[in-house]
Amino acid sequence: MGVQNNLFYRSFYAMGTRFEMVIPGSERKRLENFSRDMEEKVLWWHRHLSRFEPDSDISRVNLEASRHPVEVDEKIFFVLEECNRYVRDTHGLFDPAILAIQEFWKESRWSGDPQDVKKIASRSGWKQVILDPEKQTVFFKTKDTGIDPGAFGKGLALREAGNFLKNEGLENALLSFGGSSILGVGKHPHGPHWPVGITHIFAPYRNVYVFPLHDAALSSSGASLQRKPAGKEEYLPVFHPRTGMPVTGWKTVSVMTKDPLEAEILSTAFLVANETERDDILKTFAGISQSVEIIYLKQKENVRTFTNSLNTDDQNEKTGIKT
Amino acid sequence: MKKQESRRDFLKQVALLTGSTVLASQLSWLRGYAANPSEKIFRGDKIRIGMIGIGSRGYLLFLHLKDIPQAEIAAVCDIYPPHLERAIRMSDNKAKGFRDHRKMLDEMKDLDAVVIATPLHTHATITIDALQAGKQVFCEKSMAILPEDALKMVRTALETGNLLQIGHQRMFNPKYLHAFELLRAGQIGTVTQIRAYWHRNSSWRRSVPKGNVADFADPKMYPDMEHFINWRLYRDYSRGLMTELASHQMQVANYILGSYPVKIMGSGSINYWKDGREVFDNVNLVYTYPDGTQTIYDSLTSNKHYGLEEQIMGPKGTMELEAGLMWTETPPPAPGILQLINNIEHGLFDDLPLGGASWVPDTPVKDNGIPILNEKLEDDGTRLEMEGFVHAVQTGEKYRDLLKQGYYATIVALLGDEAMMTGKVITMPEELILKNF
Repeated sequence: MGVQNNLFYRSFYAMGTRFEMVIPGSERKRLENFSRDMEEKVLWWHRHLSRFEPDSDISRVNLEASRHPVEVDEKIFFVLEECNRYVRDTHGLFDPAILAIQEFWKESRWSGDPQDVKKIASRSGWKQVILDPEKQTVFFKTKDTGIDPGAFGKGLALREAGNFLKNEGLENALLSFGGSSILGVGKHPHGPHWPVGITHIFAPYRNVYVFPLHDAALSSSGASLQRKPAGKEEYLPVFHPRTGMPVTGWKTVSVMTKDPLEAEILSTAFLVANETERDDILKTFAGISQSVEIIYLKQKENVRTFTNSLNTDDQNEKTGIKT
Repeated sequence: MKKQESRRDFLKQVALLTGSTVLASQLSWLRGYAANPSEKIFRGDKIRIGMIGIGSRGYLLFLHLKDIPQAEIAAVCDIYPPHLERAIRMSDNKAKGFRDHRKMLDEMKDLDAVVIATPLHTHATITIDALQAGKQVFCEKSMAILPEDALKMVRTALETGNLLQIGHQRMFNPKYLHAFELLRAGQIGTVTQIRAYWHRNSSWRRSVPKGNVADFADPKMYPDMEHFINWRLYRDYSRGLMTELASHQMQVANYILGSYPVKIMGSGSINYWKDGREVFDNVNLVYTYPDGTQTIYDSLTSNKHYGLEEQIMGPKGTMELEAGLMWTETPPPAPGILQLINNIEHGLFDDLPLGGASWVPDTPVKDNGIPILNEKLEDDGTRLEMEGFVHAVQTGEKYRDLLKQGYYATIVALLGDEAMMTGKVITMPEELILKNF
């Protein structure tokens, strides 16, 4: 942490990954105080939304909500209502309540019976969540329901961090949640934007595509190289909320939008959506700036960009590197 | 790792450490290595060593010494015949055997040095006898069962001008030496707390062979074979966990904090091994240093889950010396962010390899730490410690700073025992502080 040559850097762990901020500026004390406050704000969401924190609101909900309605505070209920809205707007392709499916595949070591997972999928997911706005309670209709607001939490925290920057009059900054969620506020000190590359999964120092972030957020969702049981298909750590089946193949989706939370929702939903579903979703999210889908075929990559949500004629499909 | 490689690695590490830092000026026993880090640092004839006490620890030292070309084990001494016979046999019958150390010192005037690894209560007498007989002495830790005996040992070393090296092998372990260097460079900031522990799940009891103790030892010293074999469990011979284990880790704590504790409190008991032993089977202490920093120490014998560790904490990070790992309080920059910082500082605007999907699902934050040393060494420092002793005997080095480390490690172990036995807060007695030393 510190200011060097008119540049301030701070990092800390939150939401299962590393949060980093790079802020051009020379007012050391002010930036230190500011960054400390920002850390506190981000960690507030971590403490309340992380399912890995035993005392978090979400952990309490996951433990009790299948037995009785659980009352939560205003901010947490807002989160749940926003989840509800995004589940609806993505036609259920963003679904933060499929913990049971994740657990099923993990416990079966990626060789579970599809019929079993179908049953679990039918008993879990957001459709089993009942929100009562008057009492501010949440209730799960089945025991198999559990909420994992991981991606949602990162988007929300980045959104709040961005607003905090602007309220404090800081015009330029780059904030990153482990590289998968990035917010570029204003511009790079020596250029018109923050040039953020999406790195190749087999060559992490090579950019497959570069997004020009200027008051924009970038979220990426994709494959895991670790899920590769011998002789089995290579699975992503992402599951289709309706079927419960893992997404197959090497694919990543990156979405650039004005709002960090929307970027999170869309990159998650687009990873499991087919083309028709994606087009339907894009009609609802008119503010999208750019989406890039990268499909890896052996050591080469197929990069598809969607630059305008409402005009499918703008779709470009290219094979090779686009930088 | 082969011993020669181990040695070369050590010398390489020491050369690196001493070439760039003040560490060598503070650790005199490293200077010899650093000045000429090659096999040629040893000069002259082989040194002739008499080994006193060749049980478990002593036999390990014997094997190391046997492997050092500049050392010759000329005599071995043990009151227990099976140990003595094994040592003579392992020396290819070249070492002369004794059952009484005084007889060995009388008959073997040409011994240059002795290595002592006997039960604790005998350390002081044997060490003082050897120093007064003109021998250079290596004595295993702890120094003595009474603080005043440890003080006498130091005084005798100073009066005779002979070397007295106490067995604290961590001071020869490159992993520890590198950690000391990083700590001095401020890697984790000012050290604000040390926690150290040594947990085992065993009775520490050895099976007692049949026989009459009078056949092996002075029956006035040991009433029966049980006391003779399991001397660590009885207060006439040992202070148990404090002198056998804690002194190692307290020596490290003292060295890192650059002082000795001024206040000691603690509590111990026998809560599991109620088998007639007299020493505690669990000990728990707080040591306070002059600047208010504390070392929190515990040791137990009824659970081994946490093993042993010295955890060094400061505002910027943490080190675990046994594991050889360190952590920073704030994570280091991701490679892409580091490139961004470098670019901005050099006025560059370029694409950054920053973004991409998280390749693992969200998990609880788990930071596995950064290795203190990249190389993995098999020797815990004992072999190098023996080389250091041989080197000192050959070159005439006295390593008084190492003796000071051994002395205070013993004193704080014994005062910790006193704090637990009396239930009182102990202040470091003025008469035990080494002055002009």
